[in-house]
Amino acid sequence: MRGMVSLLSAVLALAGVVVYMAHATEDATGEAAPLFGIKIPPGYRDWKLISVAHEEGNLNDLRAVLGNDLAIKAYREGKLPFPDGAIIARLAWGYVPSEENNKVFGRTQSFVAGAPTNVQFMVKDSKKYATTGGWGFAQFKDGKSADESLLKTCFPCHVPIESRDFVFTRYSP
Amino acid sequence: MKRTSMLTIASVTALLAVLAAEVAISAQDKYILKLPNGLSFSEFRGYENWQVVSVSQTAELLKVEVANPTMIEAYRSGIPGNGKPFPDGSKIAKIEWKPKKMVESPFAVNVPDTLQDVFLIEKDSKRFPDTKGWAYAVFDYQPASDTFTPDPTGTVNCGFACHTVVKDKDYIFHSYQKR
Repeated sequence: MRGMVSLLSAVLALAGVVVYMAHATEDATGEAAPLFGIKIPPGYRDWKLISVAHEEGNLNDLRAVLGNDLAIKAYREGKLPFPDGAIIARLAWGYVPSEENNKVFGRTQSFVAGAPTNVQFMVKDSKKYATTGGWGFAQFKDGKSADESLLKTCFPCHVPIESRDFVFTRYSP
Repeated sequence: MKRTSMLTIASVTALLAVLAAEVAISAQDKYILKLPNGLSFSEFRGYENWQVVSVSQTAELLKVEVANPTMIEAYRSGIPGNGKPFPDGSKIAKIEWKPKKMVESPFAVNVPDTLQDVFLIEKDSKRFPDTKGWAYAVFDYQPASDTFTPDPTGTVNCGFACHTVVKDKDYIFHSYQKR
């Protein structure tokens, strides 16, 4: 019975994916098309660590920046520009106090990752993204892409760090 | 299939090259360090490549928690939320940095400045029966000399007293952050 339920869930999930993809394809021809045509790279949660960060402004989040093997290799060798195929993922979670940890410390001083906020990707393809420094930009929240108007704001922000191939994050020491 | 093995060979070769380069430029082999009557750094060899469990921050430090494949797999199977303990061989590292403002960013972002220390925990219920199977170590980092030293307070059970607060989670504070 449990097997049946699992199977049913899997079928439903697949159906959902198919519907979603069909929808996305429709969008791709319309105005809501994501600017760079980037999909969420499978397995990105397992990638190796580049660095971490705490954004303490409006977003107030804790972040992990991960890279696929091409990106990690380029970072470790200190080689710029990043090769085509390199992908950098920025994961972010809410910045929340940890009651457990603070109990140990005896004061409110420990903050941990809370609920996921959004995930961003930079994908290197020097031909496809020639007009934006060779990088395509993407942002997803709950699996849904940010709209084109937001994605258009990504590259201009990265221009000041052209000397580091438009990448803010340094490999953590 | 052939392409996969080619890719594997290429990846392994690349990894070896990176490892060789790292050994060549690093004056100190941190993996020879050992706590007095405690854990060896080498028991955590390769933690630089482990997968991310979570990220955290205290008043002074920015941190990441990474775990070995055994522990990551355990987290994903629902441990410790499902009431089961982490298996022997689980290892987790907390890497701590002093933070600094990223001046180039248009946002208020704190990023790692200098490495502070590495906290290490491993589980072996036969070897460490008095502390529910867990053992603890801390290695401090000195940026000026680019060397690690065993933290004098880092003994096998140094973290256990604190970690009893989370005994319901098999003595591990951090949960695996899903995406």
